[in-house]
Amino acid sequence: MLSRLVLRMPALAGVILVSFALTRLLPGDPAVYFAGAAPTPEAIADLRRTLLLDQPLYAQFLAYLGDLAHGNFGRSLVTGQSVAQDLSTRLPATLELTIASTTLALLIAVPLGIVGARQKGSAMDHVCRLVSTSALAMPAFFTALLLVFLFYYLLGLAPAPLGRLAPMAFPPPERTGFMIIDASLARDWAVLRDAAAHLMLPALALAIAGIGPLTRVTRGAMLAVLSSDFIRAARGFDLPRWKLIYVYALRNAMLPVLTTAGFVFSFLISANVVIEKVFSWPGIGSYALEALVASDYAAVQGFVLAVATLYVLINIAIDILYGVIDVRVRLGD
Amino acid sequence: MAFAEALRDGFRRDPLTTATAGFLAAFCLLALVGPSLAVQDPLATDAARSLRPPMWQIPCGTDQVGRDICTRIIYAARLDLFIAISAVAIALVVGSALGSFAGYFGGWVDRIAMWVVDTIMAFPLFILAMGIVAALGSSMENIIYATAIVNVPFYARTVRAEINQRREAGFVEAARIAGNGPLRVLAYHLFPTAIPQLAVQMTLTMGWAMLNAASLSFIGLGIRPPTPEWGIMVAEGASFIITGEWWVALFPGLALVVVVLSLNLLGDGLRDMIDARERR
Amino acid sequence: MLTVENLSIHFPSRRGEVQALDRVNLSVKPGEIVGLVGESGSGKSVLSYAISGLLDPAARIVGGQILWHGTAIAPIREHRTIRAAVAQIFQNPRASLNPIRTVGRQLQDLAGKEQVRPLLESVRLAAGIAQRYPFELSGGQCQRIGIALALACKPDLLIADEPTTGLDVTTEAAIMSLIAELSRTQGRATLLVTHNLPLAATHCHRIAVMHAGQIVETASVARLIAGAQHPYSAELLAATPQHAARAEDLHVIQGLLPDLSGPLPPCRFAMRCKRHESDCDVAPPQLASAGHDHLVACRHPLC
Repeated sequence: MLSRLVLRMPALAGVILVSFALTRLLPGDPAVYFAGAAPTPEAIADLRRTLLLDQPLYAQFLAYLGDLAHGNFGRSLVTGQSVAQDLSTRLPATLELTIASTTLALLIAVPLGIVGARQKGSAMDHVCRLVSTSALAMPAFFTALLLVFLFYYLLGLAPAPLGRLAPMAFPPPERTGFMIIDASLARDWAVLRDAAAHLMLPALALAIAGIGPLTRVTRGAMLAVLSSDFIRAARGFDLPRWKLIYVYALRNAMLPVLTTAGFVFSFLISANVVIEKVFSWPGIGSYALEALVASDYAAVQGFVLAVATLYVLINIAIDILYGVIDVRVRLGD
Repeated sequence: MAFAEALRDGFRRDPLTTATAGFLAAFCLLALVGPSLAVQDPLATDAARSLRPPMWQIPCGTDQVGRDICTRIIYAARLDLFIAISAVAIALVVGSALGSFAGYFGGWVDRIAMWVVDTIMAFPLFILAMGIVAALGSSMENIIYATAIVNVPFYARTVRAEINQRREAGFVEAARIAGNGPLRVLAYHLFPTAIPQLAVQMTLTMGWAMLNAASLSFIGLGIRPPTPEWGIMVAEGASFIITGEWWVALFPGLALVVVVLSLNLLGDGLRDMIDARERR
Repeated sequence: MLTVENLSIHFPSRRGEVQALDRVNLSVKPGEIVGLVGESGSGKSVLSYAISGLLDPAARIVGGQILWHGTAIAPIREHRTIRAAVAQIFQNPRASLNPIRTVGRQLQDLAGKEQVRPLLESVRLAAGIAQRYPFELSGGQCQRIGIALALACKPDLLIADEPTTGLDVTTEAAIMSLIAELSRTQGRATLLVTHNLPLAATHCHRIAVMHAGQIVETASVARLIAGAQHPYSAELLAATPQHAARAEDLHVIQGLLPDLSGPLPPCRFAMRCKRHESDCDVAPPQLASAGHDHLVACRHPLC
């Protein structure tokens, strides 16, 4: 695992460089913003010195690197707290949403893909392909709005898109930050139902964005496996049909499917930004949007870096998962 | 050229792709010509007509300040198409150059080029586009640049793979011996072999570029109102979804989905055609 | 037990309709070992897959039938109304095994936990092999597992499709003797499909010679070696290295297999045959008796 981390170092270095450069280019002068109403020139200059804005760029970068090494992502101008703290407070909301939507996407896409592969060329297959191609063409924000219109306005089944819980609800004691888990741990079933209801639509909107690639990969992988030599051999040995499809074929097809699921997960983290806006979800996506508007350097930097790092970690996790499933990789032949 | 033959051949066999191509051609025509034919002014507000549902004279209804949505959709088509095509064109040129040099010269040229590509791909692409537009400012040019930058890796990798594969091939040797300098060999002999795969990539990423631009505008980082653009129009209509005025957000969104879907279908059809050809 | 009657099979392909098999006649009796010999591309594998029921769904029977104990069976296993106890051993042993499942589990899937040990023993493998994955085993070991899996189905007919191609000579000998012994001791019939005539001659009772989708001759091994009557069989025999004293003496059969998707003459060996006459092109030759249990499909046989 260490070797994989090392391989990704150059890219990570590039990421740090780029995220620093990007945010230094952000318009607006944070010193002016932070100084409040009717600031004096001295107050602004003072603030400038504190924020190191009067130093040349390379000095600022070195200071930045030093901070990073100490796990210091700086302080947010908007919230006044350390960026690291802000991010860790808001990250669980985003993760909960992303995990829920990836799982949902898998639950929908894998059966669709299997059906498409087993009945290749049939009407059902074409329907499945049309569904996955259409899902690919729909931007997450549009799907989200359609779902809100259908389930909230027309059918009244879903709660208003105003965050993770109903406005007057008391959240459960925070243990993991994952509302579903925390509510279950506290045995607060009413809140659990409420949280799940609020999670449904945004998770579904994101899941739809993910079923496009997942269905295709499942179908493709199943088709490839079903026409492979060992499946033909197993048919010849009269292996029971269900075992053939689900134990022999599916497990072998899962390898590319899980890799794609990992990529979908990463993609959905960035698609979160849009969804969090529509549903007023208090995750890191909406945090970043607010920070962008306020030219909150540290917060934006922290966000970009956090997400890129998450990306790297997810890729490593995918590699490891691959090794677990495909013994050939694990036993290193 | 063999490639054009393949296209003609393939189109004849695959009616869906041909139909999609035809639809897109018609759409481009509409986008170009439509504004001259449109009867109403996309920017004209009329408070008395605000939030009217779809009817005969206003097939898509009016928005909150009384502008005709249908007209705005047609005007927006031109803008969105322009953004997507420009972004893809820039990404194509830069990506191809990068990929060509990396694939042909190898060594440290390859390593640096791939480092750039890997860095771009290490970011969630939408976040990177967000960051670039935020840093450079909200304007059409910056959306184009941001989308282009984010798409460069796809083209660079495709071209690099194709050229790498054929670097030592016979016809390349022959071209070299005939006295062609490396740039000529690259440009006239090697690069054309990558064109089929590039064509597939182009249609696929064009759809994605459109979605990207619309998403950026949706979160307020792109084109500024009152310019009609599908993403902003959906954003403006978002608040009215909860109160039941569905047409403000639906029609622009639908237009976006239909065009992107066509581009994706076309890309898929092209890819099937090209793969079948190469397999033969 | 198994009778293939005038079987003709065609495949649609991009270049046209491939006429893979043409009026193939073959029979296998309980307990005998029959060799199916021919060049690569002669249709041997198509025939073996049709009998096993593993033919590609795109293939279609355009004539004839496959009979198992007198009942017609389909070339696709899932369409069969009765279960034909046929099992096949494949050409590429490693590719026929599930790569991410231990070989012990694979045996267990077919025959149950108790049978794993006895099955491994019957193919001369140590019981510890059960914990291994296919990629950890040698080619010979994989093929033994393949044989064990086939035996687990308790087949009455075992089809061995080029079971030793790609294995070294020593392993080849070991695998072949294993197959022959299993056939002998358990009284099951075996169909050995191979391009290697000497191999078939060593282990089989009878040999059927195939060329371009047609069966050209069937006879007991002794009769075939003593006097092959079809020009192709004779050339095959002459081409075996044992007959040549020096490398230069190696006999080569002239010409190539005809393209099975194009127009074909009634006798598909006509273009390569030294005994070709004009009446060969009129109608296809039928398999006719040329002595005791010896069939030849030729208008101008060698005797």
